[in-house]
Amino acid sequence: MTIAAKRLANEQVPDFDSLIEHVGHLLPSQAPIRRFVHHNTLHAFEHLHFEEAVVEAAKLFDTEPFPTEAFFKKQWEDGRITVEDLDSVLPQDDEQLSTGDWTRREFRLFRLQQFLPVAAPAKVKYEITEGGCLEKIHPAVSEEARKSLLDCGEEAHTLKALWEGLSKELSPQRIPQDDSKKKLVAQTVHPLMIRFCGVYLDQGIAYWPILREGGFYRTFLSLFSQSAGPVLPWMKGLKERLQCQIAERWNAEKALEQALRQLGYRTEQWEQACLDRALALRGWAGMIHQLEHRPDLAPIAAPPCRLIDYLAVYFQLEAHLDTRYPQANRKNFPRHEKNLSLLHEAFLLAQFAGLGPNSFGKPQDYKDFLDEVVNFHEIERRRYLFLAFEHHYVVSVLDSLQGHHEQGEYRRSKAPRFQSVFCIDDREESLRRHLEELSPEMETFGYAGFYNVPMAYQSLDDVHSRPLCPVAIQPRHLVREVATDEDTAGKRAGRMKGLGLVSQTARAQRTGMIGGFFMNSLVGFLAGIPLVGKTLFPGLARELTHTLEHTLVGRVPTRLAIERNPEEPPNEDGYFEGFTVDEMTDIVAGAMKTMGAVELAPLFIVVGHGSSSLNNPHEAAYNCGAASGGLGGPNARAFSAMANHPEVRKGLAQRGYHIPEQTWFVGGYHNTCDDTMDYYDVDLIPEHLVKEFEDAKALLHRACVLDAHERCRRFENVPTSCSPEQAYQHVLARAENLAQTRPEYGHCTNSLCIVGRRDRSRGVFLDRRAFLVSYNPELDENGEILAGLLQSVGPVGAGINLEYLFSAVDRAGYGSGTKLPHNVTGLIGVMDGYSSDLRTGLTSQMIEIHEPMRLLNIVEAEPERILKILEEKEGLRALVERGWILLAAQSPKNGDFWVYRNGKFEAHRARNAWIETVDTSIAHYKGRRDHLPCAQVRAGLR
Amino acid sequence: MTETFAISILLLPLSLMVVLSLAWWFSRPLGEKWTTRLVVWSFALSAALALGVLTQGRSFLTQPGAWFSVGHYTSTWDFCIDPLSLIFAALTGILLFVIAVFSRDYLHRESGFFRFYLLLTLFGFGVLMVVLAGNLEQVFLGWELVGLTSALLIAFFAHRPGPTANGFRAFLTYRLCDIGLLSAVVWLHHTTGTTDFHVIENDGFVHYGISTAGSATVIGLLLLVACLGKSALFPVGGWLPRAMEGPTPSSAVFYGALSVHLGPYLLLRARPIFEDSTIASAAVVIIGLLTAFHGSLVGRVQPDIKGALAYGSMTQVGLIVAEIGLGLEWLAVLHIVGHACIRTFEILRAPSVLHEYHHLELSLGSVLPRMGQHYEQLLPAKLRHRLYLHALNEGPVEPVPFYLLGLWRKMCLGFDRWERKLEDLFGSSNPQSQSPLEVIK
Repeated sequence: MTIAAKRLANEQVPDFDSLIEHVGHLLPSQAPIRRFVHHNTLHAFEHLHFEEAVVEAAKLFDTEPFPTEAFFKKQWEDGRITVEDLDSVLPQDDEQLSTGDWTRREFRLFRLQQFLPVAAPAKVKYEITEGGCLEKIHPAVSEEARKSLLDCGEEAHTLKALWEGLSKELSPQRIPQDDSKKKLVAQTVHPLMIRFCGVYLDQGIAYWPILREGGFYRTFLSLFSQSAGPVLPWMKGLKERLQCQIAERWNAEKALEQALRQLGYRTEQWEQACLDRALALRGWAGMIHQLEHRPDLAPIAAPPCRLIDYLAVYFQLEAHLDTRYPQANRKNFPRHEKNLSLLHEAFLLAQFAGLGPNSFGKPQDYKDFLDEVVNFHEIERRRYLFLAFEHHYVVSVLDSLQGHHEQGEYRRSKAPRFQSVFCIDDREESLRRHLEELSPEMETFGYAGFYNVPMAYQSLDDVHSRPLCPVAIQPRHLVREVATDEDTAGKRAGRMKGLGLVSQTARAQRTGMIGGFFMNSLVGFLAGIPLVGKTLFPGLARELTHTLEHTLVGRVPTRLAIERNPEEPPNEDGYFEGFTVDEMTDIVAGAMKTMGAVELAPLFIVVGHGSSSLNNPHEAAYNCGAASGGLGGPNARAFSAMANHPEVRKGLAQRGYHIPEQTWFVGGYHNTCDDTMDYYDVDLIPEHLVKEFEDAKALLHRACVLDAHERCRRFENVPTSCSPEQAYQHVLARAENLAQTRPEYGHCTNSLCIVGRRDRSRGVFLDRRAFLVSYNPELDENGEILAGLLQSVGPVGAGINLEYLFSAVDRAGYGSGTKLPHNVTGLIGVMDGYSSDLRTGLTSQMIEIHEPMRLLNIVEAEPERILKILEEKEGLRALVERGWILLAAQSPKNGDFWVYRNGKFEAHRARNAWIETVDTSIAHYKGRRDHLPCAQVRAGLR
Repeated sequence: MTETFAISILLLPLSLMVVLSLAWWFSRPLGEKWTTRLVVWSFALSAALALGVLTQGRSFLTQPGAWFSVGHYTSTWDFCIDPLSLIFAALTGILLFVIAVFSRDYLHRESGFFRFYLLLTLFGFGVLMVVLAGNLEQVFLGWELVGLTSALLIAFFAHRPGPTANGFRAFLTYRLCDIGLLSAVVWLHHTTGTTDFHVIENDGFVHYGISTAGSATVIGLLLLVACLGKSALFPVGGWLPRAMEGPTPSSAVFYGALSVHLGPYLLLRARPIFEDSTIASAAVVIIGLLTAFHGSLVGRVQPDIKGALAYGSMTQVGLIVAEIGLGLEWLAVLHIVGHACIRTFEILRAPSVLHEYHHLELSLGSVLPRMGQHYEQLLPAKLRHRLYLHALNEGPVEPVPFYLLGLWRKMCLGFDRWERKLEDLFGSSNPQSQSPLEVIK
């Protein structure tokens, strides 16, 4: 033992728990893919201000902090960023620069408007020698600048002098070298880690599951200590190493410590070393970490997982590699070189600004100029461009809303014939708008799609229950769907099982030899029928399968087992089976008061939502976020059943909330992918409302058709000239099309959240970009309702919006890249192709039309009230103060708009308080695919 | 007339390929709409033509003209039109037609859209060339086009290191095994003076004029080597699961349906040779069975759906090859058609696997039963572990292509040194000169 090693061995063992906690905190916290719920990708950085956090995270994760300059260039050209916007976001800095007649702020304002074609270092050399950039002034330079350059002398001479002046003052920079050891680890250790994580976490794809013995590390030991024939050269000797660890009964802590010491890390470096390794395959490490803390999220049963086990295995492999190839440890010394791109940037900028050699009095001026260029580097510029882009959007939305306000166009149907409540989801905005356009007698509300029913739910066919409430709530009640007729249900289950066994047998033969032989050679050609059918005629195939399923299996009438006796104890899983009347009364009262529904119409339709699509591993991401990525229909059904319950109504009356006797609640389910609607417990609707219900149903169907039509304007392969009926047929087939990588656009383009009375936003075209939360300030005397609403809506909206934002900013780094090569592994996630890190975040197909910007929350309340809430609710305050969401307020009294900036509300100064007026939504979007400004829709204001 | 139709099966994708390439060359790639329309219709027509000619029930060899001449030897374009080749041509046309339709939506808005369709057309031409070829040189031409497009589509997402490395690996394996095909061409010329297929009236299969059993064995084994790479047979098939890097539809059609079945097709074409040689037939059976066992064992432990399906393909192709070795030609043909349909469908809907599992769970009314109880019950615990690890390590064969390439390189270096020594012996030594092979070391 060397002296150094002895010294190391004597050091104190650090606390692995806090180390692991810190490392785990920075890993992606995405659940197994069927339980996908949107969350802030950078949740670990929420203690920082947004603008700082993205830059820090980008350094750690090697990702992009903001959209690229190319993106902003496009926005600039489209007029989505203007000089005014840039001027509004740039901070004051009046220091006079030595070169040119301007202050630093003026210089930066000018710089932001120049999207310079700066070349990569290798290309700069070409530009100099062959490209003629020292002979001719750049063609895009303005006439004025050109003139002032030519005043300095002859063109080539001026440029040459400028180049040399700058070049002389540029000092060399340190250029980091490729880490050859990292490369070696990526080629050897990573494939093995990926394979092993894959089989260890597998939930049922592999025909032959791994024999798990103890945890991750123990299983690794017992498996790889076996001899199984020749191994890859780098793995030679690994077996003996592991056998030794088995013999000495090591645990993961010991293995990790030994490897860290062997690799020569000092104790204080351990955390960084562990973090590096965990982030190297962050998807897998994150999944292990997730399953360690939330084993209930596993699709079938989570194996024992500990992040420290994962790190122990990783480090042991790396330490083994180190023993096998000690020469790979050779350090690379960084080179020092002049940054040619920077030189090129400064050179171009000087030309664009018309600064010739005459403007630079002494060499120091060149140096100062270069410093200014460096200090306003790309990341800084992208930051301000991002802020300006957001600012432009905020101003345009507030201006439009103010215009709408100034025209005094607020409508509320006095005695509505129908009422319906939808999820606050941005995708329901268009449906509600079309509904209101179709009928002035329809009043709509927005409430989080779990409808205040915090339940776990198990449908008639489901094997497990799953929570249908926001992730933050741990449900304590289980609601089951039960058949009203046990006999028919039993027969149906038998028929389903028969069909299931056939497909199960076929599945088992996928990799089998003998069964596979018979299946492929004898009946294989039959697969040609669905292959051709589903590809060529997805719509027809959909109808056929549905009819076939209906004939073979059939449906049985069901009810929800919603009520329980207060004395009944919880079941063996710890759930109460159902709710007591008191609990139900609380639920209904809470939701109805919050959404501000006072005068009730005879028919009240509660609509949950979800999405179904084929060939789409990310299906859960399209479902209802308030229902933990599940289908929200059962919540609507449960809520309606509660509100119809006579005892509950009595209880409500005692609390001063009267539901008229003739009012009836109907639960419904909106499939946002194929725009179909289903209704529950229709047979219970009282006689006098049957006709009314049929009318409402027809109305909702028509609204769905129009909704499909509006959605189709975004799908490039649907002609903009198609009729609503064609569009509806298209989305029906689209949902069942195996080849469709974008069945719907989900929350894509979300950017707004409006909390307030619907009559203030009724008749405003919001382009499916807004979460709409119903809230009536008049019914909320002390602001308690608002506080509760903001506390739940704020983080949920932020989670969805920020996930889209980051996945759009860096498609490969934060998002999961293109869907085309995705490969579902272990039923828990997707890899790229054969072997890669587990991909987290959203796919490129989901975010391709998204505009990365933070969510603008417009709350209908007096600024003082909001400030008071922020003061009291720390979590919410953190989100707002640190800029993870944007906040504005509209005064309920006079309708003025206020914008939250740096801890206080400032009155919104409208640039142009005006809103375009159109007859119908269709008239506004017809023939257009791009993002549309707000508009006032006359049809919605009848 | 029939002959014109038969040749048009091949000319359609070829002419389309020329159109698409020219469009691209002049920086005028067609839009998504027109690209798909052209490709879809050309493969649909190819399939229709193949089916049309098939109904005529004739077998013949047609020679539309000369290809190239070397000295006094002239090679002609030969096309072998018989039920076997037409069935394969029809299958190729239909599957590529389906894939072209599928990819219209699947690759919509992808930046490599046009490139994908161009490669798909070139691939279609390559497969049809192999299928309809009337001599081995043409087979070689098609074979290479298939190999090239395959490697390029694996590396479709070239900005990531995985796809390029795996595409390169497939390409290396192909090149290594192409030695077999090329040597077979040379050997056939050496022994018979021609590589043309000969048709016996109304018999679907073709004959070579090989006289001795010895030559038949050599050529049979060389052709088997050629199939090893293309059809991912034991022991060089490790590239197949790694080829699942490209877009799903190309994986489906290459590694589920067409490319992997070209090996068996070549063996079917060369049936007469194997009839003359028991050794070659036995080798085919053994390799086929080894592949099937290997594929089935390794496939069982794959936790990812595309990997499992790739090994499923390998298993079935192994069985098909064994069937051919045993002389069960028509069973093999049926097996190929069935396997191509099933596997393409399975790979295309591989992303649906979560949906399917959920659906299955609902149907069965219980958590899915654990599979893979066979080995666990049959083997003692110790052996079970070893076998599992063996499967997880992909047997000992994963690095075989690299070993073979290493051997090849060493052999070349050896020859090179030997040659230089000889040169030295004759006194033309130049100490400064360095062998070009040493440089790339």
